[in-house]
Amino acid sequence: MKRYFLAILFVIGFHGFCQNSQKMIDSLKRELKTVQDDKSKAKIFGDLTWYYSSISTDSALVYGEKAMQFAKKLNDSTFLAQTISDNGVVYYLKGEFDTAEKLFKQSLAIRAKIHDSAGIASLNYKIGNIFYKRTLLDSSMVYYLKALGFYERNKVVTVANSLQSNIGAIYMALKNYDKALEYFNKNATFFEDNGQQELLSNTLVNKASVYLYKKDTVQAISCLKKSIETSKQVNAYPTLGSAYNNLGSIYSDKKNYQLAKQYILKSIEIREKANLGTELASSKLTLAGIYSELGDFSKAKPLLLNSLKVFKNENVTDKLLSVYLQLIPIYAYESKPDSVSYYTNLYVKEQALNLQEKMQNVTAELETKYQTEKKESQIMAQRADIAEKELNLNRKNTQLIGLVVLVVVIAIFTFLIYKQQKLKNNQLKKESQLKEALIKIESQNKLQEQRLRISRDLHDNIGAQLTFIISSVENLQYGFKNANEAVVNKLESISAFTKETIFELRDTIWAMNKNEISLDDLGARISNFIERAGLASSSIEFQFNVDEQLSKELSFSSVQGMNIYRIIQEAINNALKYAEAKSIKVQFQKDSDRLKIEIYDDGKGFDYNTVEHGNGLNNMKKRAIDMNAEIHVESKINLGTSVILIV
Amino acid sequence: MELNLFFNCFIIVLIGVLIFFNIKTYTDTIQSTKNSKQSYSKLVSDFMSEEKKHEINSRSLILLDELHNNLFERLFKITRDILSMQKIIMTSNKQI
Repeated sequence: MKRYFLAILFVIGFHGFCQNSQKMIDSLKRELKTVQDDKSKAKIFGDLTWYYSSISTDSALVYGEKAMQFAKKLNDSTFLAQTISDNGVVYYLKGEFDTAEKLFKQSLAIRAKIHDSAGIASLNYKIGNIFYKRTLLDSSMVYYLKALGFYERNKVVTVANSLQSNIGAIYMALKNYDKALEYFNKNATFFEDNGQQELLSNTLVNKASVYLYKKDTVQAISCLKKSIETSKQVNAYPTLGSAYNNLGSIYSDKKNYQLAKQYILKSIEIREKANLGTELASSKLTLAGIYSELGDFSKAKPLLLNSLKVFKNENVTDKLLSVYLQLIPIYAYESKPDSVSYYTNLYVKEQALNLQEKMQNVTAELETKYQTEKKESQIMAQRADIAEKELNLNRKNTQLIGLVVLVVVIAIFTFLIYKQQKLKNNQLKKESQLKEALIKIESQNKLQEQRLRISRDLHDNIGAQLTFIISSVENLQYGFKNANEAVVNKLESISAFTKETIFELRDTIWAMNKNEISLDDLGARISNFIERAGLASSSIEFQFNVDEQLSKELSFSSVQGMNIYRIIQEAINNALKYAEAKSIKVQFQKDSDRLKIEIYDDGKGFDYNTVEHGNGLNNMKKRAIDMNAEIHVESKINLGTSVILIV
Repeated sequence: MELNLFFNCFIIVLIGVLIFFNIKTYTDTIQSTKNSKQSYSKLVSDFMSEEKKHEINSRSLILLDELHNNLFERLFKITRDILSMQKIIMTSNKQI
């Protein structure tokens, strides 16, 4: 019964598929005649393979082979993977599980290469089915779980629930009923919520089976009754038949033969209607068992003989054994020892064969397990080897990265040192150049200062000497008061000249002692000079005016100040000597942003073009040029002279 | 394994030490540049001051040269006048 329940799960996938397949095949064949390009032909061959798989697996394989040839020709990996997978399905349906597995794995490799996750999940599902068929439940579970992961992640709920149903069935086979129930409950909730009645009814039958294994007949009956209600709503005859059959079996086990008979008869009716041969035979076998229990062998016998035919045709060994076992007491009751002996022998033989087959299966399973474990251990060893290599590679990479970082850091360090050194060199070079210039200028300054100091000493000495000369000359003047007039005049001349020399010496020392000569200083000096000139020439009126607009902060260098002073001095001296002037004016005026100095006398004047220029005029011009100033001398006979200096 | 570990540790320590020296060199360079700039600016200010002094001295020397020329001429004239006066005195004394 267990095997029967599980078989239902896989029948669903193909249910309804066969309908309209022939129509589709005809349509595709017509289309094949019209198309020319390889791609379209390949697609049609692929579709034909798929549709033929439910009708004629041999034809499907012919078209599948053609589709594969075209796929290889087109070099289309996706299509090639699909055609290989389709061929695998055909072999699966043919029951050639080894070939199917090989083809599915080939397709899986291609899909893995092109990272087709959906295709990979579908193939995992199919490979899981193959392992399930071979009752390699562990491997089947592995592939189912891989597929389930994808479908759950991508919310393909229908396929995910179908997978969960299969996983539940595996748990049931592994006698982990709680886990199986957990999966079936999930399925039932989902199908109920989504109104998928047919699948719900099927899941309820599975749940009932689990409850039966758990000896919870109450729950099992409840599930089966619910399944019957649901199946009736959607006319799901295979499931309905199963539910009635299972319910009958439960009541039969409970010795409630009337009720059991009633349900089994309903199951037979439905299965006849749905033309489910093997399942029908199974129900008949159960009914025969009930009749046998009730001692109604005459009704049991035809049912058993009928079932026997079907099970022989379908080669359902365990059912056959059950039929043989039930026929033996019937023939014994009928006093037919030959038949009893015949069926007993058949039973023993079949049992032995069954046992042998089981033994072979178990051996094969063990062999497969051994091979699988061997391969797994090889794979583990390879993985360990790869992991070790990866570890080594990672270690080497880390070391390489470390070395690269080290080189970079060393390079940065070298660069920094180089830059520091270069900077230091530049700084030292600049500093040394500056120091050199500083030393040079300092030594020059020292020399100049030394020269100035010597000069000052000399000037002091000369000043004293000149004073001595003046004093001596004045004494002589006193001594020669009544003497020769020429001597007296000469003495006066020497005395005046020497005094003038002392003034000149003092003026120069004054200028030398000043870093800068302000307008006030210059003005005071000129006033002083004019005052002395006024004392010497009392008949001449002197005027000295400074414009109020002139900035008090105006200042000159010592050379400039001295040159200005000398020009004014020279102009006044010239006026005193040659002009016979009554008044002499000195004016400081502002001329835009420059200083304009005018020395004017109202004397007899001269013709500037005809008169011979003496040292005085030339000196004034030279001094003006030295200090980048302009000088103009304007004079007219009897109209006075003016000397204009613009600084 | 141990050799690898030792090698890795050695590289890490070496990198650490070098990074420390890098930072040290960098900060030293900055400090040195700062100090150098300070000393250079001091030198520049000294140089400027000396240059100013040199300029003032040069002006004074120009005046001095001029004064010396003048003084020479004037002293020459004074000497000449004194000699001329001596000649006059001598001549008058001779007549007497």
